[in-house]
Amino acid sequence: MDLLAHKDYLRILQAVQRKPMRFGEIQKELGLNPVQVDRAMKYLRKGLWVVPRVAPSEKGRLLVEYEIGKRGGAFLRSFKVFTDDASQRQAELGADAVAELQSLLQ
Amino acid sequence: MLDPAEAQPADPAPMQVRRNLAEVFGRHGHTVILMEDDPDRQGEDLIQKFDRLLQSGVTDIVLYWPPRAKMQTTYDELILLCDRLDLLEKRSVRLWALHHSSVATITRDEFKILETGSRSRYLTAVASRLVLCPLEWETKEDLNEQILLLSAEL
Repeated sequence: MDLLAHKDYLRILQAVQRKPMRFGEIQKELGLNPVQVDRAMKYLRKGLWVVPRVAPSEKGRLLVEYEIGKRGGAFLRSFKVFTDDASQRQAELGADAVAELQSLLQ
Repeated sequence: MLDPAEAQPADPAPMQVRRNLAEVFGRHGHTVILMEDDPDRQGEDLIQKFDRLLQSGVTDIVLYWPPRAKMQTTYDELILLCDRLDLLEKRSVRLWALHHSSVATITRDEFKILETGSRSRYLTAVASRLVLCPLEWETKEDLNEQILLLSAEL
């Protein structure tokens, strides 16, 4: 699953879950470059993990804001459950593996 | 309605796609209204019918926007929606634009309408007033996938 293979995608998903964000805001808040954000948003939009919304504008440009989709929200909830469970099994999984999983949710 | 000069033999009629959309949404438990399928009531004109349907608990409006389409009825309905923004906002009705990649696209933080000439200007003006959720598709497979995903989102 590409979503798990790209930490950026997960971080963006979490960011837009907190509040709807524009492309530039995502870039700034997460310290990503435009190419990274562009690639992530194409993937996240296509899978409806995020919902793009064109905000009304009076300047002629149609600006897009991204908010979490139901699918994205469900994924984050499932991932949180998985990570919490992994934390309780740290002895078997190893501290490094658990820390790596937890870092994806920060 | 497709522009006959530009339609490809393999393009399904938009009306047929709308019915397919309705069927998929219906299979996923949504109640779907296709304006053309809802019988007119006695003494009701088209705008009254539009208002009646809009006020019947609609939560989402899905606009199917294929390539090379002439969609005068859809354009008219979008204008009617522009005049009813308060109602859409009050009831949090979402407007989804299921558009082909050749007619519009998202470039970073901007939604750009790629239709030519006055159609582009018209649609840009409409989109700047409505809160539109654009979903892009390129192939029939993409479209089917987007329909399924949207059905789960609604």
